Amino acid sequence: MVTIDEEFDMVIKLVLIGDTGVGKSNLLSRYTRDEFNSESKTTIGVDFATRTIQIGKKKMKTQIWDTAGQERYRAMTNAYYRGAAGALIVFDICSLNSFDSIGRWLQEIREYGDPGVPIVLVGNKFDLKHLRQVPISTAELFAHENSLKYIETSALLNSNVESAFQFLITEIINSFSQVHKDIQECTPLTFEDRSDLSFRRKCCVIN
Amino acid sequence: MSVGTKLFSFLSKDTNEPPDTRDLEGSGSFWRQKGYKVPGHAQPDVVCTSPPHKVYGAQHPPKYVADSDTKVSQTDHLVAYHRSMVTDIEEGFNIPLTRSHSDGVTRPPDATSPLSDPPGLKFEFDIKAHFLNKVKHMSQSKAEEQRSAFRGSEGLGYDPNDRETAKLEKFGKSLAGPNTDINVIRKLSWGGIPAQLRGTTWQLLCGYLPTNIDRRESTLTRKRLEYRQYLDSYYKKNVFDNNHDIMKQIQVDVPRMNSEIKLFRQQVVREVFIRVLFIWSIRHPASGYVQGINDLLTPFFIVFLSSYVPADKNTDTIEFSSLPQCHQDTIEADSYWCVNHFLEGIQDNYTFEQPGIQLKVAKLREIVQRVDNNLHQHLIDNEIEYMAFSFRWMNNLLMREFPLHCIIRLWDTYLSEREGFAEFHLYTCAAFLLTFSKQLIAKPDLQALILFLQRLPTDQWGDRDMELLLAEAYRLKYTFENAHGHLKVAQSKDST
Repeated sequence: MVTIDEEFDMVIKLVLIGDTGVGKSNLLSRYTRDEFNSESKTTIGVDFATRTIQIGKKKMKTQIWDTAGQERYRAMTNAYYRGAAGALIVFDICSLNSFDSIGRWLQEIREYGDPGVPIVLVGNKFDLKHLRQVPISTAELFAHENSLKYIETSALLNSNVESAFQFLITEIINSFSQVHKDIQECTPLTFEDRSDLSFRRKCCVIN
Repeated sequence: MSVGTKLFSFLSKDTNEPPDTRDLEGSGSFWRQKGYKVPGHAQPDVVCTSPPHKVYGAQHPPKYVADSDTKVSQTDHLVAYHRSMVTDIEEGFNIPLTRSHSDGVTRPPDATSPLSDPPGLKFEFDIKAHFLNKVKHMSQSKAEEQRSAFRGSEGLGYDPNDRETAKLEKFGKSLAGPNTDINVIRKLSWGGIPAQLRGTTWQLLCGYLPTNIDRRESTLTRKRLEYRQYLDSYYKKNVFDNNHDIMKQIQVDVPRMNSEIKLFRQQVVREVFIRVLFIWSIRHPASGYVQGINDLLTPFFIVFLSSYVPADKNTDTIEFSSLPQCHQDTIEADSYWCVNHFLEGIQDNYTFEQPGIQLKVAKLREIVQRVDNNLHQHLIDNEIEYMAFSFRWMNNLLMREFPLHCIIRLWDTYLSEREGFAEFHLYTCAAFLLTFSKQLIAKPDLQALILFLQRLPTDQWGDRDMELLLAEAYRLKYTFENAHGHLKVAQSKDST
């Protein structure tokens, strides 16, 4: 959901989905707090974090829902797909199983999410190159066939994490701009201010 | 108004009125739906026709049934707490502190036997010696801690140590048999179990340890052997191959749990967890392994382990492999059987679509709406779904929300309640949310609310905070359990 806020120009709701143990929570903590914990606890249900970003002259708030990856939680977590402006589908490049699940995740977001919601495919843990099970070419081909952007990240090394979210937000803004001409094409994006600013609720819902 | 006056005025209100049972017919509410007796499900409608007469043990919650419109203030909590303490003290003084237990059966401990009883079990056979020892060695700091915990009751003319020792005596007498009355143990345990007796008491409350003392040793021997046989049958390669996903998931999850506690970083401890969780999952295919169940094994493991930890060692840091192999095996088998028993009561939390959790979250919403509509409305206005924060409370039984020592105290009460983990837990969650009502209402938006709810400030909580929480949960339970009319008012208001 993209909303217009009094204090923020936009509030964007994102979801992180993918199999358990692929590193969703660490991608989120790296992006929102610049933290990484190799022994982070498993996510139960959903977790939530936000980050404020500046795009040109526009101030934006991203609200990110990090969902639990285990199969049993799907009934609970897919409620969070509804109203999401974009999704990151994450897999672990060292786990073929997690890549094989991408089709199912894609189906879930298309079934429960809003139509045409922008999605970026993320291959995480590229610091563990020696354990790679999913070749880049395979992932890229899959992304191409499904009209997704593909990016590889390492939350551990803080590599490409910003870019992954940036890819997604750019896509969201661009598709939003096509409808609302007052917001200009907005690449390159500049990201600043990790602090959590308070903002007033009164906002108008665009979609 | 002095404490004494408050106490008196409070007592005068204690009329033990039955919960409102009027107008129970014809409601189409959630609470009215007929449910089947499924483990973990809330009990189906039962009209409460008599007032609750239960009086629980030490630090029991107030037994009054407050007007359901009244939100109990902090002062009320304290008054109720004083009152419960006074009752306990009176009871405590009536008990001769040196009562003889020579009628108890004495068994020679055999620590070298692979299936020997843990020290916690030995206690029941030598209660008097242990009790006297306990009094003698109670450390100054512990005594001081207790005094400060009860500082509000200064001037009432009793020593908290007496209360502690009286409680220990009561427990010891009851556990020593020859037939332990499980109802007495339930009453005593509600207000917290002395650490020295927790292992044995939990085993009794789980139905693992027989109440008849003559059957205990043979039963434990048999059950521990049975667990060994499960390992022989299920913990081997061809079973792993057929259940590859389960095994892999458990192996990934176990190193991620309790990483802040040194004990759980030990490979040998992780292997215990992996074995217990794998065997349980294989034997319970309806739910299988669900993330969160691994957390629930922790309190049992810690409590049973502590029975074997020498007094000069810390349970959190002890080298598990330094214990004799027979003790390691016993701790593992006992943990398996008790977690097995306890999960049976809440299995529908973990089956397909997790109906037990869905039901409890819906009930939590109704209770909060009725008891604190301002808070409820604030959450709704800010588009906060109860599921977003309370799913984890239900799935992990609040284990992610409290320090481990608080959870162990909480489980003393849960184990003493019939269906405590399925039923009473709901009211604990409601009380927990209501505790932070003011802070939540002050949060301006979804973001601030969710971030606060995800990490509620409980780092400094201790037993006394848990007891206040449990007292409030008890009050809510007696106000709403089987009293569906109380919720009906809220629903009709809501619909207009």
